[in-house]
Amino acid sequence: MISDWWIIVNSALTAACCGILGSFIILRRMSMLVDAISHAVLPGIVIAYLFTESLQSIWLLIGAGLSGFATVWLIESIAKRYNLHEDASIGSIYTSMFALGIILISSLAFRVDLDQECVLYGEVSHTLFDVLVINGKVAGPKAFYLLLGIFIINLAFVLLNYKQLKVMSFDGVFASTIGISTSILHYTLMGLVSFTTVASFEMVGSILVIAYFTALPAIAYLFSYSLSAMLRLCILTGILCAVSGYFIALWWGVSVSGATVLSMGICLLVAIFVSPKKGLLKPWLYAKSK
Amino acid sequence: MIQQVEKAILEVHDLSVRYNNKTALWNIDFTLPSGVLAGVIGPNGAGKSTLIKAIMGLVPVHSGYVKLFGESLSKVKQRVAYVPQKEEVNWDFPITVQEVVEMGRFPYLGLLKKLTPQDKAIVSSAMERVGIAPLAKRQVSELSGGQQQRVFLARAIAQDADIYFMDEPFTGIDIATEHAIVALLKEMKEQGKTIIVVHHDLYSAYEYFDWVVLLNGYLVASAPTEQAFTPDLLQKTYGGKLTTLTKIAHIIKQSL
Repeated sequence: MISDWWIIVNSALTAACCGILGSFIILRRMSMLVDAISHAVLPGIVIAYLFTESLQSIWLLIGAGLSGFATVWLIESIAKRYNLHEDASIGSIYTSMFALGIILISSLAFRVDLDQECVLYGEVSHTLFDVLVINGKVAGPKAFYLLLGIFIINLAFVLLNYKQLKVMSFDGVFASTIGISTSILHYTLMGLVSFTTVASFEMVGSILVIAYFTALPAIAYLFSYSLSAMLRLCILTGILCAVSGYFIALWWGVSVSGATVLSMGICLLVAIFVSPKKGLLKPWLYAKSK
Repeated sequence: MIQQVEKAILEVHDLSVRYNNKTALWNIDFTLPSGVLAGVIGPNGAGKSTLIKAIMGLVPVHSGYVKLFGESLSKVKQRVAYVPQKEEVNWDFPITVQEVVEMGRFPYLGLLKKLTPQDKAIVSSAMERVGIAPLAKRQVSELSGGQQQRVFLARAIAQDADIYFMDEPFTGIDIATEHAIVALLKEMKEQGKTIIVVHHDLYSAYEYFDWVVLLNGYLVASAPTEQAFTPDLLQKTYGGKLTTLTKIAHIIKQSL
């Protein structure tokens, strides 16, 4: 029963980690870039894994961070330099990076205990077997501590740079004219997205993680009238979806990450109908009572 | 007709800007006196927006340099305000009018500092001045084009700079708002501010601005409006475009 608790906690923590960064991503209309990063970190992970032979080492994060950076930089400089539309650049660069990762995995398969399925789909329950042991006592799954660390880093980044992030996401040009170093902020944000993606890899895999970065903030967006409300609502929705996802998975006997993302989808569907901003049922639900 | 001034607030020296291997601005060289309401005028693709973006350091400069108050931009950032085209902004952002205007005070705040009561007073008086005080708590997504422009103007006023650059502030707004904004700009000028506006409408330019910079990839003129609005210079600016030329003739007749 303790393990059930850990699944929900880890899943909610993943949602919170991704959601607070994702809010800025969707407001800056860069969801495609997250899609790209979540796949493009693969070669970094594989190479780091080859050297360390461990899936938990800090080098994995560093490897992923580096390939994430490289991808974002490549995408942006190719788009800018050759006047290519950014989505074309994104589509071609990240798939190449991902392909490189797959080739590395498949060519070194005899040495590597890392398979494509784990990368693509992840599975929350697998993370429970790898526990942190302190002085002979089991202190919970390692994944929990990793996610907690990432959550603290992400939260600190957002809180420390809140004003700057807000200005940059609303009006990037104005932000740079008042002396905010938008490119440093942008690359830090993308670096954190890379770290977060890797930390949540085992939990949700590289495809479903996109929902954590985009669907959660999208739901929150439909109900919020301020950035801070959106961030809080994001975390709240994340917890809600983690809990409901867990129980759906339990009842149907299906993948926890799949069920969690499915409940995000359902939440978004509901939000589309009942949102006070542009909801389809808005005229009936929020009829002027003044 | 390039009239250089002494004690210039803005000096642009030999500025060239290239985009994707195409030159957008050729050796622009002019100076502006302080306390003018200046218009940057020229046809589409003349590099009007590029010019003020280059001055603000928003696009890479190929050669030449810019000085504001006799210094480089980085030293006088707080005294310079830039108002982007309103299309460049995400108006669906969950933010209120007041929060946007408050951004004008951010250059004065430390990393984790909050707005002081004095900042708040400046913000509300700025909203008062442009007539958006009643909209303070409104979401920006609910505003009309004219109201959006007023919000931008309020934010610029809250910045309390000495020189303002505005990129096409009159596109997509109604004529009443345009006139209200022009009146406000003239009022700011009376208070000693220098304002440079990118503007595409030749008709109104003559009455709005007391200084014009005529641009067509290269600099055609930079002078007080009466001196720059000559048939020769306007023809040079707009090239041999027949329809424009007839319009220009009309404008010149009016101005004579």
